[in-house]
Amino acid sequence: MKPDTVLSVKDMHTVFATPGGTAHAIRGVSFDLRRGERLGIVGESGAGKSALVLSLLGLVEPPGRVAGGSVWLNGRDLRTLSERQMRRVRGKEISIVFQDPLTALNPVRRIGPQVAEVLLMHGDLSRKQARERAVGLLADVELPEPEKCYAAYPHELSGGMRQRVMIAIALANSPDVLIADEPTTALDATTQAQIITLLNKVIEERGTAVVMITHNMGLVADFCDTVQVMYAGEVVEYGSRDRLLDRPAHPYTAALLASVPAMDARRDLPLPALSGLPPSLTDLPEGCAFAPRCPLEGERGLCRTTRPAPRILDGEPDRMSMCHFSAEQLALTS
Amino acid sequence: MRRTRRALLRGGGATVAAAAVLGLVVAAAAAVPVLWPHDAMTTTFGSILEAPSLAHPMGTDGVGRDVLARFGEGARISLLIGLVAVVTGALAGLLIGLTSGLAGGAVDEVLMRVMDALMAFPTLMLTMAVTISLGSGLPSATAGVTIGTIPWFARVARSETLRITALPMVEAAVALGMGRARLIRAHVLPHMVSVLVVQATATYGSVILSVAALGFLGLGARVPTPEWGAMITEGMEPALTGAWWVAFFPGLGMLIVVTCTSVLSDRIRDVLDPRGSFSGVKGVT
Repeated sequence: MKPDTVLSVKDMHTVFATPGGTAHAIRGVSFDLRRGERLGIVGESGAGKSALVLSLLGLVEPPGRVAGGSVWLNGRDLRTLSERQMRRVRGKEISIVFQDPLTALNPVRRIGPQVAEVLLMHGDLSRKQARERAVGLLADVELPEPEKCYAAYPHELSGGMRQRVMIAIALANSPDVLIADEPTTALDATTQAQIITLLNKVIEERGTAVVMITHNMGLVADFCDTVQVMYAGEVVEYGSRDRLLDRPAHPYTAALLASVPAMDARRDLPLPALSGLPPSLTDLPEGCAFAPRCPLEGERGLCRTTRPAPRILDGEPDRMSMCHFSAEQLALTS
Repeated sequence: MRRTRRALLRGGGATVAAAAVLGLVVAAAAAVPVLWPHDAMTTTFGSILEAPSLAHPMGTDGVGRDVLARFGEGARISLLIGLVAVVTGALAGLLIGLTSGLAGGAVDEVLMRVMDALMAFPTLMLTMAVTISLGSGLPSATAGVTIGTIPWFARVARSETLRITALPMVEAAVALGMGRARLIRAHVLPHMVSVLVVQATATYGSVILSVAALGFLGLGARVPTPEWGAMITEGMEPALTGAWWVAFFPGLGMLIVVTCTSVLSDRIRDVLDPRGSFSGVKGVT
């Protein structure tokens, strides 16, 4: 574990019991998050991004369960805490911003009390102090006329303003880790940019580490320091943003990046797309989960029989790829 | 609040009329026992079965008591018992439904099967059974009627609890560390109040009818008590000899109260249901 690590996930396994058998949603995910680091987690739908969030927060409910692993935050394993203790961790040490701010806010209550509430839940402020801090937080997230917003109902605010409120709520107790679960997906493009600028500002002030769950590569490029690519419940590649985006070492990352439309792409050529679907989580292939779709694989027996181990790339510390032929993939892009 | 009130009144003639007429009955319940010179229990043998006149607008009954005075007392009894039964039934049902919905599993299963068992009886049969087992009289009639309403409230409260706890905002609140007590206070209750209010107003009329039915059968209010159901029993014999007014006015009272509350509960549902269209309500953008 690196010295300034705030969150350390070790060999997390999460499964869901389904009528079709056990679905392995998270299969041995490990990562460390340093203070102030911004980690992007990307992957297509069903890759296990949301299951990972739930597992971190201890919110996996039956028929699902966390089958193994540990989540270290501030020196203790969250998996060993009781529900009561865990409740004090959520929203205080580890917090979350959701995708859709409209459904995450209570429509029949005013904005202010909903912000003040998270302060009251986790601290011993008086109502008056909580109110003052809540107004301060609304000002921090650059809402115009915070006093007025305090007394407004969610439907009176725009989508961007609502997301600002959600950020204020999430950061109210200055958590060590903020999970941002596709925080801009429900917003239009200009608002997205404003929200990201704001998020940059407020987390920098607080030194908060961020786990950004997204499938927006542009957002990763703009916002994140490090990137983790998930596929079928595994982290298939990890590395610093620049290295990973410039020189993907896993064929899945390469395929993902190739399918991002570029402004200067030739219009007469079809956009490259990765054919096939992710494997069923109840019936995973024996070897590499990506082998059936892999453009690199061809007919190599090794990929079909042996699950690749996460390997550190030569000469690149803090860089991991879960592919037998990473060197070959790197050679393709350099 | 003001918006709700305005929306209620905008419901058109029927709503306003229902509210006004119900208001008259409530006023009668409040004012008649205090202001009307005749007493509901004083018998005057000189004026037996007098037809409605200026001195006795609703006539007098078989022992010379003023029917208007008794009507006013009866309105008091019916409206109050209805209120007590509905409020108690709603609170008990809310508690059961909330527990059921939040606990789930075996607790939910047991509570709901008990409610199902209660609902398997026709409401009046259940009410009568409870009343008889407690000994007849107004208090046991109230208890019987209340128990009859509990399963309906419990079912509504449970389904609302399940609906609300599945909302993303509750998921978000839990992810931010909200505990169960605060969850109920901040999210669950505010979102089901309106549904319970609608259920309560709809139940109110039928509760009043049940109490009167028990009184009529001699299981609820006992005979000299000026309860509407008991008054109808007393008025049956005079009615055979043409003195229709003794039974007619308490019956009319019930008809008015039940009709008006059902019109109002329909309107309240329209106004409180967020999915309904509030035509012309400003501020909803």
